[in-house]
Amino acid sequence: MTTTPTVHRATAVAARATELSKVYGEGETQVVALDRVTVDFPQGEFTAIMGPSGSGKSTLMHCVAGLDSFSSGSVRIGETELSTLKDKQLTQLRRDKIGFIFQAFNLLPTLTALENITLPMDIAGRKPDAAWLQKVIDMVGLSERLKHRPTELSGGQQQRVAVARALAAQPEIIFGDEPTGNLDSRSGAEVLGFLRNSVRELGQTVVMVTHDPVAASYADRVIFLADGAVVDQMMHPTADGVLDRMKAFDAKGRTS
Amino acid sequence: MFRTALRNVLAHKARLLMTVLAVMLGVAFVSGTLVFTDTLGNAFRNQSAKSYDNVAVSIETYAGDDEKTPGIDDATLEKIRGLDGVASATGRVDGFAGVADPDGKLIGNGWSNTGANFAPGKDGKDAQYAFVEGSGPVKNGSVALDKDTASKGEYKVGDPVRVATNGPVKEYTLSGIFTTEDGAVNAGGSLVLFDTPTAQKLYLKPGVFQNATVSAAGGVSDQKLLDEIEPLLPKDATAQTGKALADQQAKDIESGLTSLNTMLLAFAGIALFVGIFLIANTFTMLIAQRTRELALMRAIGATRRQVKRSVLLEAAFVGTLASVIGFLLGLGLATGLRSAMGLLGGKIPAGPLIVSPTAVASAFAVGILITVLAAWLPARRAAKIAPVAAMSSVHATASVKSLVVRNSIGGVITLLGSAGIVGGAASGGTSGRQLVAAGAFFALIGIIILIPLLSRPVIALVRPLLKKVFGVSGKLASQNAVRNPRRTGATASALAIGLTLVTGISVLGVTLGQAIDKMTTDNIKADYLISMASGDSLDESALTALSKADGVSALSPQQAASLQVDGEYHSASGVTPGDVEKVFALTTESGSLASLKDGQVAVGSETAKSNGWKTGDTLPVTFEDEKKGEVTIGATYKQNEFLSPFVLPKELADRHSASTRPEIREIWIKADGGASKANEQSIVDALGDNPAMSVMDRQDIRDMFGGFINTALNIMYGLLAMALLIAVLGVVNTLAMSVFERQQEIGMLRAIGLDRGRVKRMIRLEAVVISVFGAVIGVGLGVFLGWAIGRTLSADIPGYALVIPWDRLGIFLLLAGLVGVLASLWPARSAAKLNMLTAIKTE
Repeated sequence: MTTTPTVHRATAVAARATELSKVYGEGETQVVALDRVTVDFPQGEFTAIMGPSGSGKSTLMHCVAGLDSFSSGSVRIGETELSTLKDKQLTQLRRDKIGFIFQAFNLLPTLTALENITLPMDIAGRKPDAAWLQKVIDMVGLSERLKHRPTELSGGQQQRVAVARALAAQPEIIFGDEPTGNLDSRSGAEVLGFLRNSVRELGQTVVMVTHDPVAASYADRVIFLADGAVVDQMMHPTADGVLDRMKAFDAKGRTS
Repeated sequence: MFRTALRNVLAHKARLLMTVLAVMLGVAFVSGTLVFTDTLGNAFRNQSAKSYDNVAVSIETYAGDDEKTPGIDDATLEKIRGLDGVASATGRVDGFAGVADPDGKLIGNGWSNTGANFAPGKDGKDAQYAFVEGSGPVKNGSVALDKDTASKGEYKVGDPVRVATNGPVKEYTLSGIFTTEDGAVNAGGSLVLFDTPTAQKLYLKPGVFQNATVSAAGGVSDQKLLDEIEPLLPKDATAQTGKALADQQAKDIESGLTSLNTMLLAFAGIALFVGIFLIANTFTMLIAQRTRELALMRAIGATRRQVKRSVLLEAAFVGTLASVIGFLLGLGLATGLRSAMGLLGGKIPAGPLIVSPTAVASAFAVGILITVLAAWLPARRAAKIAPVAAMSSVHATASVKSLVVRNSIGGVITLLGSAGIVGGAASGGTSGRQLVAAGAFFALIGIIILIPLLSRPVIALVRPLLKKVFGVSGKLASQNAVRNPRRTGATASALAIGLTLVTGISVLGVTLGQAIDKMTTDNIKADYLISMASGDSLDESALTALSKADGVSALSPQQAASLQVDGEYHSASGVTPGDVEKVFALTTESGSLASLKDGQVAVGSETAKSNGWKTGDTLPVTFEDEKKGEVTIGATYKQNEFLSPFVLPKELADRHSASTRPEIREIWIKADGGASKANEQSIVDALGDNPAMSVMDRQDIRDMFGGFINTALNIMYGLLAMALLIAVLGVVNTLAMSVFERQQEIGMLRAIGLDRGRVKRMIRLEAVVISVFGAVIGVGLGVFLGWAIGRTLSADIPGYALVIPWDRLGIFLLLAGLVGVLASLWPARSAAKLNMLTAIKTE
């Protein structure tokens, strides 16, 4: 819509972390999970966050998505500064402006696929935009399965419902936490394809944490984290390129 | 295995908490009951033994119909005193005597207000009574009071005391205050001591005693004395050794306590039965969560039996722990119950707390057995876990095993039970009631089996409402409530059992109460009813006094009499002609009640019909005094509950009375302008402000007949409260489990924007839905049972009509909802406080 994948620095920023730090514990036992991280997530871009275990990639996502508190710095979603929000306001912000796709436990087993998709709007007490909803459902190819319950769907189908749920509410930004972690490679590729399409065709902003170079290759940009800091980034990533970069970090980590 | 089981118990402390609480409460109920009744029995036994301590032989006479042998006279007593080995022989006489408190109200409750003679020995003391102040009454005009009565009435030695016996009130001077081991006094009654001649005059006749106690000089056996005394006694007297009498009393107490024991234990049983559901739920969940762990044990070589045994061992640990705490709690309960009874006026003799080995053994047996039994099915399921489950990475979800077999069995049992209930209701009587009881048992079991099936459609009914009112929380709650139908079913069952019983007794109680109330209001017109608090008959003088009182427009006694027609006894009521129809609601079916004035009689229409009598018939009769005569039926009336089937003019009843005093059971009064303060005062004044006579207005009359029903209902509610409490713990337990199992789901909901308040509301609504569901089932079944049992009674109760106490039922459902809210407080809080990040994190 407003952006194309080739334009990386769009005018507006969907989310931005500035000098973001998260510290656990005090004194000797202090652990720095995020160390003054500054990063922008421009509108209409698909960003992947990568890094080895313990690099702080999940923590960064949680802080930016308003799921976790942080020690210092600032996080903005659109124009909203998160550090000053109370739990209730944060909950509302997540409800109205953010979409989520988790690795597992994405769906309520008691609800049908359609009910799961409209759940965020249900919670907000909003009526879903019928045309948009249809578009999203068509895109993820679920029109035949709307009445099914999650237990009657395959893992890939369940994750597609999760994608549809994130998209249906038209949030400003969607966060995915290893969304393909539990899927076989074919289903994973499908889900990633939908996410990429949502960015390209619907102008959605997506941020995804992953440790899978193949998954990261679907993104427009990859941010590499190590020891709580952004160490590198890569535009138009390919799986091999990402893998090589990761290997380089590992080697560096071992030699240093 | 032992160690694994112990470790598991320790690891799941929090999740086993509710189970421990439930078993604990049940065990406390059982052990409290046993210790309480043992303690009570011991105290009473000691007391009766103590009160017969000095009694070698006790002689009692029973008032025969034969007026010529009224007890033991002085001559007989003298003969007994002259026997070898007799230290003393004391004659006793007693009857009703009441004293008033400063407000003029009778102290004690009528049937435990006693008057007796003070019988000093050679030393001037009566061994039965220990004077704490003053001395015993030895001259006419003085009395002594027991300590509690004196303090309740604020009487001091030297004060005037108005004492009511069956005659008019008389004033005496208080000569002393005493304590005694007498059981009735210690149970809260009052005792007035008169000097012997006064007591004899009041209760029997001068020089005669009702009974006597003989004490032995050293070295003479009681039995030998008894053998010597027996030939000296008149034919209406019996003698027993003091020991035999004490044993007899102990036995009576025992049997009285046994029925109390049985009743309390029945309620404890209900509480424990309800607890089974909670325990089973807990172990089912613990095993579901440990599927992989148990599978691992199977994979590394544990046999099925070992797995099963480890689970049962775990249950045994929990049961033992809960039993220990429960038993201690039971001791506290027993102590508390004793003091509570003391506070309510039922004085219990002091004595040590008796903890019998049987009580200990049964408390522990019950606690451990119930827990192990409830864990049996879950343990079997645990043993069936295949070793490969250890390898599967997926969390074991609730088994969606088919409920078809279960439902078919449940359906058949419910149908059988319901058929039994309906059949019993139709056939009526005692056998019908037994059939209803058996049917009720099966219907309840059947419903418990069917509850999981019922939960889905029933809860689906309220879903649109919940959705509409509470939005997404309501929708999710109603769906969560039926997510695990077995668990929901078990939780709701626990509540349903309690509420079935509570509703059943409520329907029955209210129906009976209403029937009695209707009987009272339909049958009387009088404003006041006068009777003796002791239940004895009123003195003729009361009638005379009342007839002159201001404000009394009509009055009639209900004087007990009888007559024989063709050798068949008929009870009769002596009444005042002309006034009787003003105080009783009498429907004349033929003739006129005015004929009573001419010395004719009236007969209840049913009696007349069954004997083929008509108005105008003259019947040959034999009166009470054996005289033969004739009576003419002047009227027939529709049978009245407060009158005998024969109504005689008072004069006729008086003339043929067998005893010296006419037996005036009650006096009924119609007052000018109805009941009023002034009228009541005028009546009380006319009766000489006699505390022994009770003046009841219509409300009092209704309470007298129906009041016990309310008391009984309240006691039942109290006893069932324990079962309901355990059911509430069950709801807490289920919700805590659900919250625990759905951590990730709740975390996801929080992440996508469900705020804390609505998470809480979701859990709360789930609890309310489950509780109210159980309550609806229970109330429904309870009404059904109440109806059925009521039907079996309807033949015996005139004016029986089923009353469904909607107000009470409404309150029960409301309370069930409240229970849900309360039970969900803690689980809802912990759900709202859930850390989203840990919740959504995957391993």
